[in-house]
Order: sequence, then structure tokens, then C-alpha cells
Amino acid sequence: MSQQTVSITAQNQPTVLERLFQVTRFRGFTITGCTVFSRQNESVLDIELTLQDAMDASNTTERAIGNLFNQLYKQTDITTVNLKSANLKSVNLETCPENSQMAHQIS
Amino acid sequence: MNKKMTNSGANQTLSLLQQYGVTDIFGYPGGAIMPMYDAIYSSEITHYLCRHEQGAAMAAIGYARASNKVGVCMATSGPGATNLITGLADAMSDSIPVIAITGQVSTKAMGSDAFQEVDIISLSLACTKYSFQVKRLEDLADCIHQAFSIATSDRPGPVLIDIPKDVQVAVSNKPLELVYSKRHLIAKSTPPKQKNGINEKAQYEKASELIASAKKPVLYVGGGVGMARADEQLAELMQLLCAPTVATLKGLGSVPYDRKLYLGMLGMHGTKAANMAIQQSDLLVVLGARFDDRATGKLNEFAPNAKVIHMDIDPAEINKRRTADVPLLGSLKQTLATLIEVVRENRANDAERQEWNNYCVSQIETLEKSATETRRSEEGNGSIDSKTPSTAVTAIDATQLLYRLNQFLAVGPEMHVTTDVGQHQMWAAQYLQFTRSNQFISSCGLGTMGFGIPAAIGAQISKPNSLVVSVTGDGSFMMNMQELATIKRYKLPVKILLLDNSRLGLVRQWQQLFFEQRYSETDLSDNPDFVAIAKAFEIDAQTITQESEVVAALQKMTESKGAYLLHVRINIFENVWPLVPPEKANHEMIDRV
Repeated sequence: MSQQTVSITAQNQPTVLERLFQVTRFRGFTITGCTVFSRQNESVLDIELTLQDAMDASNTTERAIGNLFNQLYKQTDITTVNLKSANLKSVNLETCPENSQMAHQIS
Repeated sequence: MNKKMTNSGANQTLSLLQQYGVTDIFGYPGGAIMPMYDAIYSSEITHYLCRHEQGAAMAAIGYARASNKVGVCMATSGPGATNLITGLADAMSDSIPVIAITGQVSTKAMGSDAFQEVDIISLSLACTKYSFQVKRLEDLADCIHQAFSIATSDRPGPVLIDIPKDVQVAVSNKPLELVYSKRHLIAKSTPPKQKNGINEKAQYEKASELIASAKKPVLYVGGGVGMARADEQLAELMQLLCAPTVATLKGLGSVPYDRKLYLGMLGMHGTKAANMAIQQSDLLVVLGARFDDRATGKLNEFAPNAKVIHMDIDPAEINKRRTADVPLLGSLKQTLATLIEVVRENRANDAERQEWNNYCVSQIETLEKSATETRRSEEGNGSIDSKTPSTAVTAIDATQLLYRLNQFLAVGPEMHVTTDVGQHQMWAAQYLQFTRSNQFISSCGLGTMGFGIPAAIGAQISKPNSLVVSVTGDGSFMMNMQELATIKRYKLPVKILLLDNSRLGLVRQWQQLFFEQRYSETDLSDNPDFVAIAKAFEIDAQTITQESEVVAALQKMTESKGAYLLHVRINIFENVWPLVPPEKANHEMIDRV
């Protein structure tokens, strides 16, 4: 089990939160915390999710979080995805070289 | 046309669809979608009434697959909308651009558990790329524009537009325009987000180096090639690399079946030659494929020595199941053209590859020959296991019948084959011969029984001159056989080849092989009279039971002017071979037990 915090900016469309939660659950994570603030006349949402994953031996945390990032990032209304902090020793960026924006934003 | 309705939401919707080139819609009316149907009554768009909303959704998929256009389906609120869901999930899984329009109760009634109200937006989230609910008429054009953009851009997929009844009847004072979304313009003016920061040139050079140094390369062709209309680019790359090539189920046809070095389908029921080549290869060049579990078998033993160049339009597929040494993102039409340019400058040592190529060709020749001989000599006797009733054995071998079908399919200018899901689907994939992408239209990802007949309807409507054959089984046929009424209504010359083993054959096969022959709920020997059913819909039909009848029956079916159902009784215990057993690696595939 590991815990991470993901920051997301998204356009404030009616389905965006529901879809975000659905994708997160479907890709193997449990949401243990969530904050949402709106800005720019409520047109943009800043979302912070605290996530837990329960990985089995065949699915490494690195691969799972990379998969979640990519799946979130391709959602129409989501504009940025940022792994803000992680209990992981490190996220191996080589496992997700296709998403360099994610790599740039990992702090 | 009723002048009062001219600028209504319903009429605007149809006008906008027309501006996007929509000429055909598949659907079924109901209360909350009645204003749309009133508008259709005098529209230039042709509406095809299916007899179940699921049929309408799958007809839209077949239409989209055969024509490379967007398929459009429509249904009322509540049960009408929920009946579309399986079709949307199918389109999502196979990346098919489909627009689904659903009626909704009026905005004032929404959230009150009104008659035929269901939260279709929530229900659709997991099986669409995006879902719109148009609560104001002024948002309608923007939503429709975005829907087409989302359905067709990047990796295609289904989009739902839910329109409340009062929005359909609302009238706008403004003249109708094709309004371009601000969001769409923003998206178009910035580079695709997945490409930010990637040094593309370096990636292509790295790919080229891997290709040049590989001694046992294999091209792994998926459905993305056909989706990108990149058959020509693929052919050019094959010629340039001169490497053994395999295809996924959805990729069938992208490589002509008789192309030199083509080893056939990989995976659970693929050819042994394809699977063995993959397992021994040192480089996979993967084109528009996603390492589906039915293709890879036991993933951590899949192609254990191979580096991977993964070319795909969807960044989320990269490293999802297999780590890519070099990912190349984008539409295959462009990325393949770029790769070809780079590879041309960095040619491999062809002599070194010759041994590998010869080996692969010898595998396809010897293994397939031996498999065919074994099948003929042993399965023809029906001696599969002690529980095989002797009366169940017939002289018609489904695989040989499908092989014979090829000579009749190749006659006309164009042909499309749709399938349902099960043994007949795998036999069709193994034995039918395709020469172009999208000739083979099947439910590949979701595996939806009931897909074949409505998909054939959609394919036939989009390609009126094509010989469209729906290969089906007795289980699948009954899942959407109400669509025979659609075939009758529009006089569609769809041919249905029903391979009847009176069983849910593929489940029965697994029960035989992996569940100790406990045949739980797979006996369909109480099936109805299929020929009588076809004739009730004024579709000509016949049953055959003997090998001697096959050629004449296939000829009669394919030469029939109108629709035709050929009902073929096949051996109950005929199995799909070869097979990668569950949880096994592809090199452990077995010819038979």
C-alpha cells in the first residue's frame, strides 16, 4: 500500500469530478481525501486528491501510478496532472517517457 | 416542413449533423425523443429504424467501421438510452467514432424520477470518451461541434449527447450557424498535450537504430492501422523492413493474407507461427495495438527477449501493459511515414535477417499444414471425448466451410464480413482471407454477442454495393435476431452464415478442457427453427447438414440478390485450435488435447 497526492486542474464542466472519480477507482486507486477550489469565475477547478493503491505483485506501484496519470491526463476536461508528493522512494520516469509533462511536474 | 419548427432544437440538431456530413442515423423513437423524430420526418437525413436500441448502436458501429465515417444512433430517454449502453461500451473498447443522441425528460422534470427518466450521463461515463447534456438551446451547436471533434480526434470513440425534450422543442431567434467552440479553438491552437517536451527526432533515430541492429524483428499490427487509414504506409514499411509480420484480431486485413512474411494472427487462437515468432523475436515494432491479454497470453513471459517500439495515438497505451523502449506517438499515417524516412537512411544488414525470415516462413508452412491435416483426420471423426454423442457428429467441418467461403467472397468488387462472438468468430479470423483494413468487422475488445447482424446492417447501408456476410453462431444469433426485421424493412442484401452447434460453443469448449466436462448451461439443443424464423421475416433460407451440400449452398447464398440465411449444422464438439491455455505463455500453445 502506498499513498500519494495528485493535483489536477480541470475545466469546470458538469461531469468532470464524476469522471475523475470513476477513472481513479477503475484504475485501482481509493480516494482518501479530496479538496476542490474554483477560480477564474468558477471556470477552472483546482483539485487535490489523496490516493491509496493496493497493488499486487504483478502490478507495480510505478506502473499503476503511470497508468493513472495517463488515463487522467487524456480526459477532455483535465488540463494538468501533477504528482505533488509521494511515499514512493521514487517514481521511475522512464516508465512513462511518453508523458513528459508529468515528468516535468513531479516535484 | 412546419415553419414553427424550423429553428427548433431538434431541427438545429439535424442541420448540424448534416453539416458534419451525416447522411444516415440508426435509432428507435420514444416519448422524450419525439421532437427529434418529428424533425426527421421531413429531414434529408435517412433514419433507419432498428428493432432494439442495442441494434441501432451496433449498426452505427458497423457503419463507422465499413465507411470510416462517424456512426450516429439515437434513442429515447430511460430504457431507450440504457439499451444503447452495450453498443457504446463496444465502441469504446474498439475505438469507434460513434455519436449517440438520447432524448431526456424536460429540464423542469429532471431529477424528479420522472417517467422514463434515467441518469444516462452518469451511466455513460465509463463507456464514452465524453458525455454532454444540453440544458440550453444556445449550447446545442457548441456541444455537437465538440462531440464530433472528440469522437474523431486522437483515439476515436463514442460520445453521448443527451437532449432534454424542452430543448428539442425550444425555438431560437438566431440564425443557425456552425459555431466553433472556444474550447475547440484553444485545443487546436496548442500542441497535443502528450507531445510536450518530447524530442521526437531523437525518438525516431533511436527506433531506427533498434530496427537496424535487430536480428529477429517482428511487426505487430493492430487495429490502429485501419483506424488511421495507414494500410499504404504499413505496406511500405513491410517492404522496407522485410520482417515477419503478425496481426491482432482487429488488425486482420491491414496486411493482405497472402503477403510474404505474414504469419497470421497472434494470441490465444492465433497461429503457432505468429506466436513462436513473437516469443523468439528480439524486437517488436508494435503498430496501433495495446498488448491485449488475449494477444499476449501470460504477460511476463510474452516476447521475453524483445525490445519494443510502440507506435500508438493514445499515450495512455504506452507502458500500460508492456514497457516500450521507444514510444512513437501520433496518428500512424504520419508516424509511419516519418519512421519510413528515417529507416530508409539506416538500412539493416539484410543478409543477417534472411535466416530469421526463412525460419518464420518455414514455421507458417509446416505448422499450418500439419494442423490442417490433424484437424481433418481426427476431428472429422468426432472422437473428441467420451461424452461426445455419436449422433452429434456431422460431416460439415466449420473451418473448411469458412475456407471455402473465401472463393465466393473474392468475386465481387467489395466485401465485408461481420461476426458475433465465440467459436465462429475465431474460425472466421483464422480461415477467412482479408486484403484490406476494416473488411473484418468484429467485436474485438468487448466481445459482444449479438454484434454481428446489426453491424452487418450498418456496413451494408454504408457500402450498398458490398457483399456483406455476417458469420454468426446459434447463441449469438438469438441475442439480436429482432434485427432481421430491419433487414426486411430496408431490403438489405445481408447474408447470414449461421454455424449451429446447438451450444454456446466457446464456453462449452472451455468446460470440456478446463472445467472437467461439466457442461453447465451451454446446451442450446432446444434452439428454434432458424430457417422458419428467417422465412417469417421474408428472408430466404436453407439448412445444410452434409459436406456435399456446402459448395452449392455457399454459392446460392453469396449469389442471392436479397438477404439470405444459410443455417449450417456443425459438429457439436468441434473446437477452436490451436489454443493458448489460460495463464499460460504463448509459446505453450497447444494444437489440441
